[in-house]
Amino acid sequence: MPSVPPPPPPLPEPQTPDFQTPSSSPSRQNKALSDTTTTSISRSEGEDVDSFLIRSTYAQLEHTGVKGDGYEEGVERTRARARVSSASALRMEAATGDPSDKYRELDEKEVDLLASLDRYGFFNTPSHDRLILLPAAPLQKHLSVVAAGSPSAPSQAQSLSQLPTPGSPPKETERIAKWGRMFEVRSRDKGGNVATWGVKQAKEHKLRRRAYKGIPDRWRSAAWQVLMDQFANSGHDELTRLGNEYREELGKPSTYDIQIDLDVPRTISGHIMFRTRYGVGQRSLFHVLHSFSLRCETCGYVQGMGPIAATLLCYMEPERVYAALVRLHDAYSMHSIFSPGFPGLLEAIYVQERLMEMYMPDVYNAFKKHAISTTSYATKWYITLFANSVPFQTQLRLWDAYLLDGQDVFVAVALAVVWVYRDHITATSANFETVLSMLSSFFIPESDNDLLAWIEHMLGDKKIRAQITDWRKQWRELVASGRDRDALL
Amino acid sequence: MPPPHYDFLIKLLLIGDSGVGKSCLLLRFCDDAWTPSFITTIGIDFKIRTIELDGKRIKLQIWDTAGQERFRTITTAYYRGAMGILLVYDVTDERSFKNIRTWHANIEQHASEGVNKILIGNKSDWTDKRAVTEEEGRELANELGVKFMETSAKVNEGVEEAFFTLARDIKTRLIDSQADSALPSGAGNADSVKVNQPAAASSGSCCS
Repeated sequence: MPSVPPPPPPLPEPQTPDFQTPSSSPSRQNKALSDTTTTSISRSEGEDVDSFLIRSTYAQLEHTGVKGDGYEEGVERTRARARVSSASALRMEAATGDPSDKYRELDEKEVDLLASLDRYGFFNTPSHDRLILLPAAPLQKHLSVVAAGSPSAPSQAQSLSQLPTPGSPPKETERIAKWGRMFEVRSRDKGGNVATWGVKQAKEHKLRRRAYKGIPDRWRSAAWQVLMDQFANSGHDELTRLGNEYREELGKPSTYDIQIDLDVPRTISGHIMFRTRYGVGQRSLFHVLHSFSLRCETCGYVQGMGPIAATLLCYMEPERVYAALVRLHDAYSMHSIFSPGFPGLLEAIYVQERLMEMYMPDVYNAFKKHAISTTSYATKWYITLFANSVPFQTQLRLWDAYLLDGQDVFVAVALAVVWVYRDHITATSANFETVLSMLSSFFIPESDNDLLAWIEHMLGDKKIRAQITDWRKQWRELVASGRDRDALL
Repeated sequence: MPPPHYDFLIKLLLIGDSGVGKSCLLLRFCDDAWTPSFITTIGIDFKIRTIELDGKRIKLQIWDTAGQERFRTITTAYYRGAMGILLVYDVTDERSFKNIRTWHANIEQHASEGVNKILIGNKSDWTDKRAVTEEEGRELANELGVKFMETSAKVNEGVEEAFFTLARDIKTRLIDSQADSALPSGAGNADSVKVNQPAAASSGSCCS
């Protein structure tokens, strides 16, 4: 009977919990008062069955939690939806959180594991990236027009076998006090806790210098908020509005849910918060990305938003992370980075290429000679804001600068990388592969301070900033007149 | 420039839906490693492995691509230079299998004429979650006229065979059939075989 459409696929029985009546357990009902669960989850008209399963699974686990959160790998529930064997249904049940779990003492193994984390919450896991040293010596010289180095320079950078363990910066205690004196409370919540901070007017002039020296980690959460408030020129009311928007969107379906669910478990999974499948970090990450995918119809969800949101989640509540993503999107020009065709990425690359051509003409020509397009190594730099290319502690320093100074910072970081490796790129023995594998590596700066100082100096140069602005304009004109195709390497 | 430590260079490309295990296959093949904690590939990445085939050293330059559709504007630029393409789906994910046709159409549109292809069903070790049978995989491969293999990057099953099979096909098509053209080794190959050759590939050298 060709005229009869096939019946819609049935909802998979065991996995469609009814969220109007989550559970009879009293402790679970208490949890139901938390933000995300006040939204009732029901399948929307036209919502894909698998998408709904994903959305409802995360919502359900927000009530119950999962067992061994932070310690265990957890059990997969949303991949391979088609057939659920009774054995895997049992495994899922067994991995669901037990309220009494919260009140028990940690066992020795768990304590040891906690003790083995670095100061940012990362496990010491081996890396499969190519790790190379980003030496400090070349950064002692400011950006200026340079010729090629020795042709007999090695074509390869020094490789390293493991990630460095992050330590505390030597002046951290002093800096914590300084930042404390620089900030003031702008608003408090009903319980008297600080909701928003601001910079004391008399200390405004110190902010830039101090941000480039590195925000003390203890102040990072507050400081990032302040920097974004300043940059976006908005404050507390906007945060409240965006918080409400975040919660509202949790109740709506997103066509990106399947993709987001696929990416969540492979986003900074070396961090304790994101390690366990459907653990608190993974749930927050899913929820934030879900809501944000509904924010801008043009951008939707793009791979690359994940590591950005996860980094922010290390410092803020999910609703604040949502608000932060909105600011990055609206005020920090991430809209054009994430839009189809990545116009902002191409613009950044155009500016980077003009800077290379002007200051390192031999390097620029080497790229040309070896036919290396900038997109082949710099795409992930600009789309993830260097989240997957440098150690976490370096990334945080770069973001301190970015949230202060905006999108030009990552052009400067890209240029710094090329600057540091320029002699390897122009070496006679260099070729397509040596250059590209070097620039696709994971960079471990010998000195974060020297890297940041180089960037600060470059972006503090008014002439260079004006050039960058001109080139951005020039790129948009090229695009508008259809001449952008051949304008990039 | 020092002489290359290989006789031929072959460029391969991995494509397929997000999350099917392209980067894991590459990591297994090039570094013989596996990691459960992989990160999503943003844009494009590549790895190298030199293998020996019939007494020749062949350097494989293997390109890995982001699976999300948004990234196709960037990744399709790499189709043209590829001599072989691995079309990867996940045997536990029917969607990724259905999308193979779309990926195949992309190849038709953007890759070089006559490019060698192989269909790969990855995650074959995950038996209790399997959603696509081996038979279904083979049928699709037959229909598309490409070779087929199931693999597991995790338990290292079929990975070597998959890459070697593709490399061998390419060697047959591009190298053995034009033994006298300007290739790095220069020397002709005794075992030169010509198999269903589409006008001896217009791309004279395989080292462009």
